[in-house]
Amino acid sequence: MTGGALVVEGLTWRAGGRVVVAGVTFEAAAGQVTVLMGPNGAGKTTVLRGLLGLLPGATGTAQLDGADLWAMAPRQRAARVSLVAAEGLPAHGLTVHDVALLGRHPRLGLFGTPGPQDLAAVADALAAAGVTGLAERDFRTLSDGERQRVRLARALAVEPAALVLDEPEAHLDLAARAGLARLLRALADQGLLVLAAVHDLTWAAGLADRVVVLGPGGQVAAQGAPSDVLTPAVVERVFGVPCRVLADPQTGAPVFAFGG
Amino acid sequence: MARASRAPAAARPTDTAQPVETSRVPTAAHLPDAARQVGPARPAGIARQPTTVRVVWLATGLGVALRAAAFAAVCLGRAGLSLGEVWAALTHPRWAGEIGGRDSGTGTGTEPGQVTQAVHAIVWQIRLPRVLTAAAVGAGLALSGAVMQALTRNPLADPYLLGVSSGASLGAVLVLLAGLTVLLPVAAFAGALGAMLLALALAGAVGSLTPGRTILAGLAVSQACAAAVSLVIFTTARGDAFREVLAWLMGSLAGATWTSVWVTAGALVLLGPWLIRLGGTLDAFAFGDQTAAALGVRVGRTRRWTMVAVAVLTGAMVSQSGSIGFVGLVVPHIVRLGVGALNRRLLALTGLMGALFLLVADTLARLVIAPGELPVGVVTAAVGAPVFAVVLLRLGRPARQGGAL
Repeated sequence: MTGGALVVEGLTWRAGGRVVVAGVTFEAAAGQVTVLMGPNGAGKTTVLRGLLGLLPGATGTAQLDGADLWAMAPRQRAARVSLVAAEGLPAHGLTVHDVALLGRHPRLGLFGTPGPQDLAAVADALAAAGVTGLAERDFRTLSDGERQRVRLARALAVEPAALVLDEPEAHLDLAARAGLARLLRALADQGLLVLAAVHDLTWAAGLADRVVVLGPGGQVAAQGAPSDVLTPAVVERVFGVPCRVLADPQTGAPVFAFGG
Repeated sequence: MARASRAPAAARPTDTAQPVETSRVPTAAHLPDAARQVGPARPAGIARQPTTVRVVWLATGLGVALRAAAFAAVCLGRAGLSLGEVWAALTHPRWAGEIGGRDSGTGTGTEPGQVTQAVHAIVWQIRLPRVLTAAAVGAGLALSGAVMQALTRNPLADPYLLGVSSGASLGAVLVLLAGLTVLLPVAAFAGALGAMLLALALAGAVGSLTPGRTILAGLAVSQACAAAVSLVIFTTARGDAFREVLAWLMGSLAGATWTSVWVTAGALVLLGPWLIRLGGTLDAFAFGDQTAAALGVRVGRTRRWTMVAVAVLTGAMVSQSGSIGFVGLVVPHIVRLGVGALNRRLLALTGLMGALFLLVADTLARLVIAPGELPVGVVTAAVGAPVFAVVLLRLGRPARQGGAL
């Protein structure tokens, strides 16, 4: 395991006079899955965009392994932090291999041409995401679950230090969610820093080594181990919904129940 | 740095002899379960990148076809010239009296025969400039179209998206009707750039240069210029001037001179390589601006300067040929059928294919109703529209399934 870490301190961003995130401070470690939770509008996506340098005018700092992410050139940063998020479909038929090859852009630059090591990285990323068998398929013909794996392959082809995912479980069926969780766990076990914004409490609790909860005011409401953070009190305070935490009779993993 | 999913070099299969074409087999042992559950890995030795090879073959084939078509186009016409005559004329750029066998013996055994001054003039003053201009304009328009389609993520985008052709038309029509025909290319180019700047300013005034805003702003400028052109023609054009204006609006290569060659080929040589090499960056736009930015692209800056480059290239073409339609729209789609949609592979081939497409279309325009001549835009549309229909029918399908082409 490499011992790198992501340190975000005092991240603040205003849009149109409204404070979206206010002094967000948290850490995420390499080799761990860190999950960012919070209600809609709490600023999860904003925090992730901040890491990618996509928030003009943001204040605070974001460091990865001691290097200031915001001081880096875009390509340099993109080579260290890669993103999996909801996005449009390509207008033309790109194959899965083509899509994964896009992940090499930060390493190739404006005018670069992919060489053997780029193709090797793409092949490895396709394998790691479990989509080698789909390499020649048109991306648009894939299922949502397959597409998400291909986006993951593209992000891995970057060979990043940190993998950032925005609601990676959205639109996925049960099997795909389970597969994605196993995959993220495996990637973290191999030393990658995984940071994901997630809505599903039960899925997050099963996946996370560490949870950071953003409250409605764009501030960190709680952070720590899932069992310490995802308590009925925190959930009710942050989401405004009463809940009970049950234990899976087989594994003891937390399951969240609402209403009743 | 933390990418342990990558196999250590020693564990990789030793297929480095042809790394571009061979499959890298994942060493499954250290992979997550998920990696193993989806489909079998491809066996080693199956070409992983058939398209790379295909691109080289297609480029070579297109290059040969382009030369052959250019040579044929110089031979064909109202005054039919033999291959030998054309060859003799082409190998002697300066006409110095009758070109006979004595000084043209290149050791190949072919005797080019006598070439008269008239033949020499037809080849060098009329047909060759026209053929070269057609090729350069075709290449420039097709390349511009492919780049615009990538930048706007819109398969219907073409080089004229920013109002370039309508702006050029307005400039051209104004000087034609003022009787200042000499100024036509300059006015057309100025009109093209003016329209582009106006469209970019309009789109940029609202915020960042998103594809939607760009398309709408281009449409607004296009329509305004088109209305102005119609108004000017309606109120002032009579007789010959009207025919002249109409010919220009439909696009024609009939007036091509060596100046046209220098302007169009010059613009192509200056901007073409830059746009072609930008292919990988354009690919990063395929999934939208956020994904492009996350891949390290400076989205706003790249889009703005690339659009300016496209408008300058297109403006140079339009200033010499008028606005020829369909080339920039259709040719990129045709090439995608062959090599897929990755701009990295697409752009150079699109340039070659565009050159071939317009060269053939212009030659047909000269020949079909000889001794008259069709507007080349009619031919590109007649060929382009059915081809585009076929492309549309295939758009939903994966480009390379079944190994067609």
